Amino acid sequence: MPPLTSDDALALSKSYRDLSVAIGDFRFRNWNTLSEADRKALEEKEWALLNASSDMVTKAVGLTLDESDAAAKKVQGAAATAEKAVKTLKEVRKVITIAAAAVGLAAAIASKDPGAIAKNAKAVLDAATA
Amino acid sequence: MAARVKVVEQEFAADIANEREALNKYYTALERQGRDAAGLAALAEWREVREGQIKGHEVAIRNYAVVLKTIAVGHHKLYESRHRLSRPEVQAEIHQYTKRLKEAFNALAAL
Repeated sequence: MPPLTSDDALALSKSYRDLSVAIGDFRFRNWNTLSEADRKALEEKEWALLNASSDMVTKAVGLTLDESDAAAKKVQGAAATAEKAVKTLKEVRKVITIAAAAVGLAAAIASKDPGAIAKNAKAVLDAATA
Repeated sequence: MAARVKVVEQEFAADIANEREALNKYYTALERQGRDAAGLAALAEWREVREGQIKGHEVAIRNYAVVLKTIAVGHHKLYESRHRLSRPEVQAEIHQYTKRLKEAFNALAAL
């Protein structure tokens, strides 16, 4: 497949920001029922995702994922699927799991390792659809 | 020039959206933890100041994009008119671009 363009990277960056916003909304919506440790865990993931969003354009442009289109679609769809899931979920454990998987995917993208990217994209999708 | 306009309009705008969300996370968390009414009022004022700064950056980005687009159109006009630059109507048109560019630049410099 062709390398990711700046438009693809911008879309990915927006997905990461939207996911960070969705987790923040979850944290503030459930503020009074969340434990201090859960609030902290969620906040750490939110900042990691927002930082990943800021770095995404420089990290992802020119990235060649795999020979199959399926790998690219998985990456581009994973963050969006995660955001949708976070918006409807009520269990904090699941939200933290999704957020952690998305942070892992961002790290894989930054490492430009196609194998790690594919593995982590699947982990995000699995967490979001579990 | 088109690529530069794209970077300014889209990527700078994405940076602003991230800045706005960072501000939201920071101040909303502080507001949730605050108990003192005067402290909360001060926080709200600081939040407003920071939001104003982000809005200022947004306006600057829009004006910068206008400057870049005006330069691009002006360059194109100069190229198209390169064999008749001494004609009064061409000079008048170039003058209009220069005037627009000065206005956009001054708006940017005023921020």
